[in-house]
Amino acid sequence: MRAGPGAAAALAILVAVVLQAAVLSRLPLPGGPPNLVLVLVIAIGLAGGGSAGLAAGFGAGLLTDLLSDHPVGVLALCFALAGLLAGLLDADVRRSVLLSVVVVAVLTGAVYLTYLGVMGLLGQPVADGAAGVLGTIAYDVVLTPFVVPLVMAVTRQFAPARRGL
Amino acid sequence: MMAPSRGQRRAVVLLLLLSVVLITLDHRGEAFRGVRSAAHTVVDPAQAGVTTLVAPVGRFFGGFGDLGDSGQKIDALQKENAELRRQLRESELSSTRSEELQKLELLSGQGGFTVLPAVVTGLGPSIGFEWTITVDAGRRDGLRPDQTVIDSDGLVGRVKQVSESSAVVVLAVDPGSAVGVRVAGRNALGVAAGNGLGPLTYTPLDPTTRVQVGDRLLTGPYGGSTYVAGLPVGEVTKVSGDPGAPAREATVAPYVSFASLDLVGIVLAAPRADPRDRLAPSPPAATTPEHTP
Repeated sequence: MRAGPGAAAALAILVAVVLQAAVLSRLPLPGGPPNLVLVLVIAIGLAGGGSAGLAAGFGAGLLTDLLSDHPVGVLALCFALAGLLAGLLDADVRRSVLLSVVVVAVLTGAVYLTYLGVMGLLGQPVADGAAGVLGTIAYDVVLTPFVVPLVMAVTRQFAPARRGL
Repeated sequence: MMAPSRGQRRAVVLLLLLSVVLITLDHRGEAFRGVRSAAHTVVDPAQAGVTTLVAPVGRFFGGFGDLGDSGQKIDALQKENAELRRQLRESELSSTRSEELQKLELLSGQGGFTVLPAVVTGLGPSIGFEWTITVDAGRRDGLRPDQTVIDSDGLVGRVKQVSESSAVVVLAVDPGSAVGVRVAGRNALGVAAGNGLGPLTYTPLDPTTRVQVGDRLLTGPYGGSTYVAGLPVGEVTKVSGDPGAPAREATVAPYVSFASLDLVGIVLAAPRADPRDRLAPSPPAATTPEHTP
């Protein structure tokens, strides 16, 4: 049953990417769009630990890269770091929904800065900086209380014996 | 914060290096064209499905399934197929989005080019700094990279990447986009560059060119741009510098409402002759260009 959590995560990422492109990016919201994929990656990191977050982030980022217009690998790098950092937090921080909101806000901001930094290094044109990012952070914070408990619950289904770890 | 374990550290270094290698490869050329196209082939049908569920109108997707796979690779047949597909698509769309389609047909009729209507199934899933859309028409419908994309109001962008049944379109407002333009009624050429969802920036090629608020911009003549000539782009809303003096730059409000694209048209066959000013929207006072911040 080792394939269970991985397959579930892969499926969840695929669904999130599709929803991101077809629905969330198209919502007529002020500021940048909510980023469900990133929230999911952070949630997987919080629920499953550093390795799970790293792998989920790299996979989700790579898929998003392939479907986007920027060089492949940029978001794979950013999302992998976000998933890893979320997974390395202390266990009691990771179990708190309230603190997960803070984690999402901080990591969303960090991912955007890293993305802008890498794109700047590559000399790729980027417009509309800070204002959009604040919108995205706000929307991601709103998504967090829905996504994180769901991912936690699914993770517990796969490992009922591991308690407190 | 826990320290990463030894295995984790190794995995991190490995994946970071892999990312850097990927970025370098892709940045230096089109190394991932095939993989990107494959990713679109997998994800876009699901995306189109979700759009069908979410959009208030969805029944026009149903009938297409059987036509795509004729097995024959004869050129003429494929072309005929694409043309039939275009007609089928038009007749099916006309029952659901008739008004938009009629306006699109009006524009293409005036310009004398052949347009394939397509529905926007998604925006680029990236994190919000680039402006691309996915449409539900692809190689089997006759789409090729660099074809011009319009909607009933004017220029939308150009086809960037084509997979079998979907395509990615870079919008004219993308920060990397620059459209060769001409001021309607004159021969003043220039470039309209994208700035994200804000207005476009017009820079004249000839620095002595004077533009005024209210000047209408059309895509430039052949040779001057990769876009089909004579399409409405936008209207000058602000000119930098002193009034009367030659302008360095002007702010241009696009005619197309990029935040709410739904039905677009891909120009499959361009007219032989430049339509010149025929497609320019009626003079400034009569039009209020839509533009969402």
